[in-house]
Amino acid sequence: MSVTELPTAGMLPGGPGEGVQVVIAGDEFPTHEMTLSIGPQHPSTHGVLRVVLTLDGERIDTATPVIGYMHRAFDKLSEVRDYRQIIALSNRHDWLSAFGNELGVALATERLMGLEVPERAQWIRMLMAEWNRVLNHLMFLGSFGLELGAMTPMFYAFREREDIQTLMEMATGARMHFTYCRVGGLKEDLPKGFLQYSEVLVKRIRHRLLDYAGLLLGNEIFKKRTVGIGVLPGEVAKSYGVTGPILHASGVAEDSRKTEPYLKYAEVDFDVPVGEHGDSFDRFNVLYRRIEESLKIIEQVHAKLPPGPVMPGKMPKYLKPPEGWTYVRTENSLGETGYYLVSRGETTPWRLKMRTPSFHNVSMIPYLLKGVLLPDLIAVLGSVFFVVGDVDR
Amino acid sequence: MTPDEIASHLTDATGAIERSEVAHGEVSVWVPNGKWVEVATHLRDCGRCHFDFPTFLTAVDMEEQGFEIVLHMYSVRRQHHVNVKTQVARDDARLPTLSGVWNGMNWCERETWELFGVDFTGHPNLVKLLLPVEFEGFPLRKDFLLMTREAKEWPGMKEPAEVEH
Amino acid sequence: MGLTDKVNFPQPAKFVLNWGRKYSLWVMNFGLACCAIELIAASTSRHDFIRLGVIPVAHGPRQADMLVVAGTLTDKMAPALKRVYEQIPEPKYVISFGSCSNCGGPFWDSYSVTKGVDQIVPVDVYVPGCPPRPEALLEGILLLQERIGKESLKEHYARREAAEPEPAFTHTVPIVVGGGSIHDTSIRDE
Repeated sequence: MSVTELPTAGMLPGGPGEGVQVVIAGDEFPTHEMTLSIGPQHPSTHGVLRVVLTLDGERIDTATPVIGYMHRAFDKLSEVRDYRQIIALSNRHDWLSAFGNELGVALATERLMGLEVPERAQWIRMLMAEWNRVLNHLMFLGSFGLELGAMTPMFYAFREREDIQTLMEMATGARMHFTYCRVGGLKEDLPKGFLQYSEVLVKRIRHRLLDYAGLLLGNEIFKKRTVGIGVLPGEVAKSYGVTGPILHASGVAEDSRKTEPYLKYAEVDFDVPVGEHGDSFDRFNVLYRRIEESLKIIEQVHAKLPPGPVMPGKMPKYLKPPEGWTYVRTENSLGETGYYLVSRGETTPWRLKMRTPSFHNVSMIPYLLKGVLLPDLIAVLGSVFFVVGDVDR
Repeated sequence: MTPDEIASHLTDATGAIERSEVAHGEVSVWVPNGKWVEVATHLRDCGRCHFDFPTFLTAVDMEEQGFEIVLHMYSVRRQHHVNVKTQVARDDARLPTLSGVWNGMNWCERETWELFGVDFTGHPNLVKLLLPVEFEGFPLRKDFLLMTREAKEWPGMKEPAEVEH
Repeated sequence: MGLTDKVNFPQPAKFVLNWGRKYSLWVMNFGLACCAIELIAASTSRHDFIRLGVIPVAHGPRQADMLVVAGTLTDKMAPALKRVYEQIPEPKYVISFGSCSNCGGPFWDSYSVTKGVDQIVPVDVYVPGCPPRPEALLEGILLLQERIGKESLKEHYARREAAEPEPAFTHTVPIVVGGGSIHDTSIRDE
């Protein structure tokens, strides 16, 4: 008989499993490594991600994510589409917060063309981007609970999402893929009643957020399953290129809304919630606090929104940015979404590379899952916030 | 550091910069292939640069001139960006790997390899990432045509006002 | 399958059997992309397709009656779709939800997208939209239930046995939610 200490990779000191001794009965029973393939079709909201695990008993040795099941070739398609069509196509990547994708394309084209976006358009763009952030985070609040077995937060999250989607539909006409941004400004101004309903929703959602805190954040079972599980140190996260709530939960407060403010983020007051340990609970907690910060920004936009036009007066008939290249990054809900645009003076770009946060978030899964127990797999994987359209583009 | 300072610092410190350009508030430096890893290591280790955050690595098809590999780095502590670019020949597209310098380069290089055909020598696992295993060809090259567009003219090619009834 | 594939049932029995089948269509969610979010929204409280008997059972394809393919199908994913479809026991129906699964949608010229899931599995209902509203899915399910109510299982199995499996119904025009043909209802009708 051999007695071994449980390896503590991926766990906090003092967390579950420390000091536990495992008695392996008999070295005469050799163990095989088992390969388990999870996905690509599985009953969660994560979509078509496949993870191939090699297991030693219940402990994961290696985890290899296999991606590409949603590769729709955005880079190639954008080389044959003009800039208005690219905005419409870019929506389909981070589909939970579609406006954030459009914004990057418009900002990159405007920077190359040297266009000045009217004030009102910038404030409204910020309003839309923050509502989209709330939409995105609500989804993950619900789905993380669902994966751990809590069904109620899912229905609550969708109730909130339906309200916000009705709000979006008032302005843009669509529930999900808005195509509201245009190069130079917006498609059209906000309709009557939009701002009033938006104010009502801010109060309603702020009040209902307390439900989530009560159901999940203070829940002993939830804490037992997520505290100390899936620890990601800040330095490792940075070297993988991880951004967004996952990076913030690991202690690094890198947010391009603060460091390089675009739109009107320099004129509104908000915090960037940061976690301490970088475990699954911290990631979830940071997500929860980010919603509150977004609601704060939305309220400030309501107060400061100036009147005026939403498109510049004279727009050329065909958009032809001059030759050159630029990289524009925005802090989308899941992290840093950036567009590297190379133009040769035509109506279609020469190269448009979309840098997505989920691609890098998923690339650190092999590091994160090493040494994790199989029952904890879902608690870890659910806390890595990604959207498959973003990963594969 | 401002973009101009970054360019001059890198030129002095590494001696491997062919040329640099500042456009739209961003700095791009061009390095020869042989110095690719050396410059990257300097970017990571130098205290003034402190580039610890890989943003992306991709390629741009420049037709006869080959491929231009673009590496965009960001520093969380110093809050500055840099674009590092190099040129590889079209028929002999090879570059040493950077996956030893930053972890995030591993997947970026796999993606660039499978979409453009640029071989990253020394990469631990250069297999297809996004495309199915049976896929043939390098899709993002300019000579790879989209078959559906070749086969059928897209009805939306003309603006509504230009369509004859 | 006992008698159902050999005998054309007389009307009262056929009505009861079809009634039992159509109001308990357990669905296998094959949510791939953005349309999956609208599919999930259709199953939550506001739209709620569970009241139609369509329960999104997640245990697996073997307990399902219906497959809803929601989202873009890529060539890499197509074998997985085929395998899941084959695991669903007969009688089964397929709803193609969203324009990506109907015909490739906005990615019609991509090198990695399958232009329409009907190249892989036989489709009974097409729900157009990008993404379709959850109400459109509800209409699709209702139309499907109407058709099942009038269906003859003998013909259903005969069609499946044929060399090339076809959609479950003998009608030559598959159901398209929103009208007979997209071109009839287009606002650019000239």
